[in-house]
Amino acid sequence: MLLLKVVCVIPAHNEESTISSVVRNARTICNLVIVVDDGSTDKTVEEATKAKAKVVSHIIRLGVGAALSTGLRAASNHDAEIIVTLDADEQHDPKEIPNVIAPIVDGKADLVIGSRILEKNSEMPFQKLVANKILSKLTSFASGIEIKDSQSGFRGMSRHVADSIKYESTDYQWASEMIISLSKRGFRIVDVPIKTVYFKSRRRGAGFRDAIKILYNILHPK
Amino acid sequence: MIEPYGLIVILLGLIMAAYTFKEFYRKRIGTIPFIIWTIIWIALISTGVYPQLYLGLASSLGMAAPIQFVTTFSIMILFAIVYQIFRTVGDINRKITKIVQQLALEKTEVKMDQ
Repeated sequence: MLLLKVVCVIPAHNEESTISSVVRNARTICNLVIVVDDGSTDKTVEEATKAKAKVVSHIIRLGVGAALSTGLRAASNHDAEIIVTLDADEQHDPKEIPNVIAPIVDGKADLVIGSRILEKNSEMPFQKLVANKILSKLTSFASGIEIKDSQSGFRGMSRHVADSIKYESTDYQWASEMIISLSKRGFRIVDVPIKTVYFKSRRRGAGFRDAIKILYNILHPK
Repeated sequence: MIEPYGLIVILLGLIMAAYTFKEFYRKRIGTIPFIIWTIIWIALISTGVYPQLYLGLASSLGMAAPIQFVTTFSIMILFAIVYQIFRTVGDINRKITKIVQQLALEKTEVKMDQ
């Protein structure tokens, strides 16, 4: 357990089969785990509560971007000093949280992105890899910072970053919008390699429609 | 002599004007939207009743017939309306997001206090 108060934020929509283990693993490292239930219709809330997470529930589904935004505010309300965001589908290994937040603890970064592509043995499906590389290039171009995996949901950030984040996207476009917005305000952004596990039965993430929206947001910054 | 097209336009205009008035009477739309929509319906009805009124305007814009003028003008209005609806939907979406997020946070705080 770290000296700083680390709060983990996990957005979840119908993740009853995985949320419990993700919360339990995250709790071994974080002081508090907040699950943002984004209008789930299954037992996500019950499972997360049983695993001793603090659950914040949206009464309707707003999208992963909005869920994260709610989670960041909830983390701030709980006096978080460092906030980590994780996916609820076991794609990310909570044991890697110390690596992701290390640059923040060392005072070298304000936002750390856990990059799935930096990892040499990345299991990212080919189609996703290509889409991700294109979006990362576009995000890097718009932000002026070399970002290898702009769509990664595994991120660490300091409290002052979380408090100053302003993005309007409620869905997958939040990932790029956050980077572009923070880079333009001079925050230090770095990426670290992370391992990722992909399950064929539950592949989600940014699709073609999201890619178009991300491109639109990059061309029309708010 | 009113053309068949004129009859359809008059009928449509009258139905829409009556519907607009009903909505205004029930306070579902404000005074300004009511006035704007009423002007639009009157303009539409008048193209059916007095098509010759638009002949001069249509020919000065290089259009062969008043119907072309009406069609072009209507499409332009429709684009403006679609844009306005697009903006409104975006605004409503943002407001709903804020309300749902605020509710979620407040509900959690209440649970913590109990």
